[in-house]
Order: sequence, then structure tokens, then C-alpha cells
Amino acid sequence: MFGWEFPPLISGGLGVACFGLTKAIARQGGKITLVLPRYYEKSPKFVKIVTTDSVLEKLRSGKSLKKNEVMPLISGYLRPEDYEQWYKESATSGSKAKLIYGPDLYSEIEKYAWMGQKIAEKGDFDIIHCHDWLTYQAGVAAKKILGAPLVMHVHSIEADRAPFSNPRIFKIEKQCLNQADLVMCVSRYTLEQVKKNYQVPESKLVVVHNGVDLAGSARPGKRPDRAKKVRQILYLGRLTWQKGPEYLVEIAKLMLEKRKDLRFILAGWGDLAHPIIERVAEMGLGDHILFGGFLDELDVKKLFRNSDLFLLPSASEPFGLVVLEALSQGVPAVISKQSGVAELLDGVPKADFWDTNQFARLSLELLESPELVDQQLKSILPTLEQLNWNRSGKVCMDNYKSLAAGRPL
Amino acid sequence: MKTVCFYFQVHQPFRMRNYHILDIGKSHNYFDDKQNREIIRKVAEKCYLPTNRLIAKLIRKHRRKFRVSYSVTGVALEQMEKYAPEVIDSFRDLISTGGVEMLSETYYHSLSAVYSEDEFKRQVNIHRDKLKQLFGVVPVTFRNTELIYSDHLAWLIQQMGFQTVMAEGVDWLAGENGAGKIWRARGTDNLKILLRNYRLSDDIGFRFSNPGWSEHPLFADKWASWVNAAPGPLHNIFIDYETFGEHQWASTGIFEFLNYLPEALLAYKDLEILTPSQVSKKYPAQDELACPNWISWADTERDLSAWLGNSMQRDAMDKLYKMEQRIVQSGNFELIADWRKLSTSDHYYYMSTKYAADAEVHKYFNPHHGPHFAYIVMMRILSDLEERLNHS
Repeated sequence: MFGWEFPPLISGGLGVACFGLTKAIARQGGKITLVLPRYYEKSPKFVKIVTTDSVLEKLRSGKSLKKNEVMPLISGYLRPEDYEQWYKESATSGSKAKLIYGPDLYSEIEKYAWMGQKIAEKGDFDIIHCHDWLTYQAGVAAKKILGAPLVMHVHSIEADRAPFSNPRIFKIEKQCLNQADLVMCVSRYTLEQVKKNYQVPESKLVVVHNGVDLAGSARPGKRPDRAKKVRQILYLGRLTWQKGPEYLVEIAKLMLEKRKDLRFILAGWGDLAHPIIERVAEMGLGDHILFGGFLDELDVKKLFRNSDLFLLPSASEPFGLVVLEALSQGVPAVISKQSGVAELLDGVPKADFWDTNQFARLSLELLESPELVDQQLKSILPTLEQLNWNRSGKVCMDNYKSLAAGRPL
Repeated sequence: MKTVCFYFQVHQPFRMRNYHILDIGKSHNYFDDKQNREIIRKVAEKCYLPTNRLIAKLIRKHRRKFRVSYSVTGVALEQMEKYAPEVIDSFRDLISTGGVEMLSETYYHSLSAVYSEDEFKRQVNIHRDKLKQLFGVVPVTFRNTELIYSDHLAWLIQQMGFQTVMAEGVDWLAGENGAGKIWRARGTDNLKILLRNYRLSDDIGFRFSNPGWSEHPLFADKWASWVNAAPGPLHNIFIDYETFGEHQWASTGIFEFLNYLPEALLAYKDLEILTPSQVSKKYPAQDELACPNWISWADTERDLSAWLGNSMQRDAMDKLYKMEQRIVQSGNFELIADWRKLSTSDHYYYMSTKYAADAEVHKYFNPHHGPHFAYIVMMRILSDLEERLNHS
């Protein structure tokens, strides 16, 4: 299996999904070797982690690098322009990064693909499974060596991630996806996008919804209703075009015109962080719209616990795992129609991401009516029960078996 | 007769810590005690203690013909008492030489003069009480945060009984050699203004250790000859005290420069060194200065843009002063003290985007850095303060 990020080093849902899936597949009896560009923690028991940088670095100098010198490669949402910026900065700051990294992201991906091939040569694998565009070329390379069936897992496509697609990434996705034996999409929404953008035949496409781990989390609908003066509304995601943080700010402004006892928290960071912070300051709403920065898992859980409402205003959200997390913590939500989870959550109010008025109206309704909140949280219980990683893992395993046996899917 | 007047600024803010979003409502520790202690200790060792010793020695040696003045902010004094009490003692010793004038300013080194007359007066009074408590002195000369000044400020402080005020020698207001004159503030009876000679001041404060400067290395007799040749009867040398040993390290020769400075100046027979109030008492005003807009000694703009130049700075400051009345009326001393520490100008200076090069602006890989981070942390803290206010 080829991945790019894995907990605890994650920047978004991709890492969470890889964790959930590998664990569930292992529970179904699958033995997984997961290839990552880098990883510093101890491998969990259910998966064997091989990192390409450790292989490379050993070849070169026998030493390992420090964490802070290699941060960018951890994110599965890395943009070529971010990479270049990082590379330039690390070159001027005297970091050792330039010794082992190429000047652009594409050469890094090729290097990763080449290492993938080396690892494939040494092992005996029945299935190749790769996650998102950064790893597709490695999958294709490994297939050439092993001849095993190739599964590509689409957590997002270029059209989701950027308002104007990068043609080079688009080309990589199109070429690779059409070489896959099976393309798993995280939602019906994404499946349609893949079909439309890359002309992958329907027969090769299958939906594998993400799951959510309810273990250890508070039961929905059983939140202590603290007497609070301020109602807290949460946005959780990278501050980047895809996630619609600019719409969130507009929604906040509209809601604040109706009532003042609201505190919006934007947790996450990204290329739009500075412009959005400045926009909030210009609007004079800095006391109502706060920025949390990037938070770890534990902090996110705490943040859910004292939030009254979750908003997902994404411009294009292939799945939207974070919504399930919010709901499972008992936080009601209003979500973008342009999202994968929207097709699973009948009881959750939805609006087009650009319709900030509708978003604001639905949000205020929920804040004003505890009955509506109860209704929502009750209505999604059966869906939450169904959506678990074990189910997703089983779908993967069933498909693997069919592929390996050469059966029609 | 030529007159030279020295004033040194001593200031250390209570720097904020990386206040987490989840701290709101839970933790009311806003300041980085460890960092603040370390900085005070470090600057005490490198600057305050050795420079105080040297200046006390020089005043005694020259039998008070060498005199200086200090503006020490309340927040600096408070941190010295806490982390480096020997610095307070060394200031006591300095004052006992009889050659030192202590100046008045806002205790919190704030922009309250711009935002709130009431709060401004309160902060000036708190500072005056602190000087009296620690050193037994009552200041008669006023200098505002970062030499922020306007006609409005002059009017305010005259009401409060001050006779002299310091300001920046801004060329476009006072003319090219205007800093060499004694001025009367427009709209006041006889409030005298001493304007900073930024050329002679910056020779010591900024250029001293710059090897690329054509006059490097600078020796005391060379600089004294410039003072003697400079036009006008008065030369006000206003600099950050941390120049000695901290901005300019001991290895640059700054202490040797200071050691020889009084001798080099007093070698000129018709040159005297006075403190601000002495200048003010001895000489009449020569001209009237009108200053309708705010000026300061910061940046090339010499205005408020270092603290209020962008939307983040203005939003943060607006929100801070929006709370003023309710905070003060709460009667909760801890709350009031925290709020006031947040009024210190440095916090808003950190939010400035004026100096940010491209690389800085694009440093979004590391959110714990830069002006945007300073702003979002301040807004988290203000949110907590608001919650405390609502509960108190």
C-alpha cells in the first residue's frame, strides 16, 4: 500500500482515512506493508511501515534527518508551489533539506515511485493499493514489477483541491487512474467527478465510504448542556480554497448581524490563513472570529466538546470525515451540498457552499432550537452505526479477493 | 553656550505566551514568565547593571557636571522588582548621585494618549506613584510612549502639571535644525518641548557598531566635535538605554565610548550638560511648535503606523479599548492589571506587516510566528478577558 501521510503526522482527512482503512483491512486478515515518504513514530502493530526517506538516507549518509527539516512532505495535500516555497526557504535558512530533496515536488514523486519499485522488487504482494495522486505513479511502477492488480483510492481529485486545476497534476491523475484495475472513490459525489473528469469507465469504479470510530467518544445526544453565555461554532479544516473558509467568514458576519453571543473558531491553517485573518480584522470581527491554528487530535476532541455547531462550507469535499467526527461527538452540523457526506446524512441541513444566507439561516435555526438539534442527532444515529471502518475494510477486502481471483467485480 | 541633554529609555514589555485556543475560559496566564525573566536577567547583566554603575561613577567623577535623565516604564520596573531587584538598587544609587532626573510616562508604555484620556491619566498617575514608592522622586518632565506627541497631548499633560515634554525632531515640523531650539507647545501657556536630535542620537543608537558606516569606528571625541559643531544652542540625545551593552555589545567598544564621553564633551569650555527640567528652567522658549497630528520616533514615517498601520493592529486596539470602561468599573484588580499589560505598545508593534519581506509573509508553514500570529493570540486573550469580565 502506498500512502503519503499517516497519524500522528497528518494534515487532514487523508491520514485519518489511511489509518482507519489499514487497521480495518488488517482485522479482515490482510497483511499490509505501507510505504510512506517519511514516518518517525513506531509502526502500529497492524501494519508494517516502510519509509522511502529512510531507505534513501541510509544509502546516502547513514544518518537520519530531524523532523522540522522535512515538515512539508508529511502533508498529503502538498501543492507544487508550496513545495517550491519551502525548498527556497530551507535553502536560504541553511537547512540540510536540499541535500536530499529535489527542487520540485514532481521529482520527489518520481523518487518516491522509484523507491516503490525497489520495495516491490523485494517483496511478494498480491494487491497494490495507493492513496491519492502523490502515490499513483509508485503504484503504476510497482504493478510493472509485480503484475498484481492495482487499486487506486481517490480521496480527492485535482478539481476538488484547487479552483484552477494544475494541468500537470490533472494529467498524472488521468493517466494513472486509467491504468488502475479498480478505482475506489470515497463517495458517490467523487465517483461522478472521476467519471466526468477522467473518463474512467463505470465498471472500474466503486464507492468505499469512509468510516468513523465511535469507540471512546461521547454518545451523540448526551452532551451536558452547560449554561454558557457564548455559543461556539466550529470550522475545522485547512484554510484553503477547497474548504471554503472565506464563505465561513461571510456566514459568520451574517449570523452576527442577528445575534452577538457567538464565537466562531477556525481551527486549521493553510495558504489562505493570512488573507482570511486580515479580512476578519478589516471587518472588525476579531473578537467573534478566532483562529485556533493547526490542532492535534486530542485538542480537536476537546474543541468538539465545547462547540454548539459545526459548519462545513467546502467548495468541493470528496467525503468530509470531519462531519462524522463532529456528529459522533454530539455536535450538530450544517454542511455543504458539494460534499460526499451529504449523500449519507439525510437528517443534516445542507446548503450550496456559495449560499451563505441559507447557511446562516439554517445555523441560526439550530442554535435557537434544542429540539432541532436533538432531532438531527437522533436521525443520524443509524447512519453513524453503519459507517464504520470495519465495513469499509470489508468492502476493500472483498474487492481484493475478486481482483486476485480474476473474478468480475 | 551650548547645551547637551541626555535621556535614556528603559523598557521591557510583559511578552505574551503562545496562548492556546483551548485556554480560553480555563487559563488566565497570558504572559511568558519564563521568557520575561530570562530577558530581564540577560539585559540586567549585559546593560542595566554595568551601565548604571558606569554612569554613577561618571556623575560623581565630574561632580554632577555630567547629568542624565531616564524614563523607566512601570512594566520594566515591575519586572526588575520581580526578577532582578539589584537593578532597582542600582537605580537608587544612581539617583543618589544628584545628577539624575527621572521622567514621567505611562506605566504600561501604552498608546492610551491616543485612545483614552481617562486611561492615559490613570496610567501616568500609576507610574508617578511607582517612582515615588521606589525612588522617592516626583517627575516634572513628561515623555510619552515612543515619543508619541501632538498638540492634544501637550494640552493634556499641561493640565496634569508638567512643565516640559519630549518629542521627536521631525524635520517637516520643526525645520531642518529645529531640534536645536527650545519650543513652546501650541495651545499651552508655557509647556516647553525638547526635540530629539535624531542624527546625533542615531550615531550612537544605530550606527555606532556598523562597520559599513564611513565614520566607523566612532570615538567619543569625534562625536563630541560633531555636537559642538552642530547648529543651534541645544542638542537632545534621546536613545534606548539598551544601546549600551545589549543593542551594541560590550565588544563594540560602546562602554569605552560612554566612559570617555563626559570628558570629551566637557573639554569644550562653553558646553554644558543639563537634564530636561534644568534646560526648561534655565532657558525661555524661542518659538512655538504646532503639531496637529500624531508624531513619534518610530520608523521613517515618524507617525503611528508602526502600531496602527494595518487592520489587525487597529482591530486589536479597538477591541482592547472597547472593554476599558467595563474593566475599570469591575474593580477587579487582577483583571485591570492584565488588561493594562495588554495595552503595552509592543504587542501591537509585533503585528506590524510593514517590515515583512516576502519570505516572512509566506511563512505559513509555521503559524507560530509573525504578525498574524501575534494578532490571533491577542484576540484569544481578549476573548478570555471578556469571559472573566462577564463572570466577575
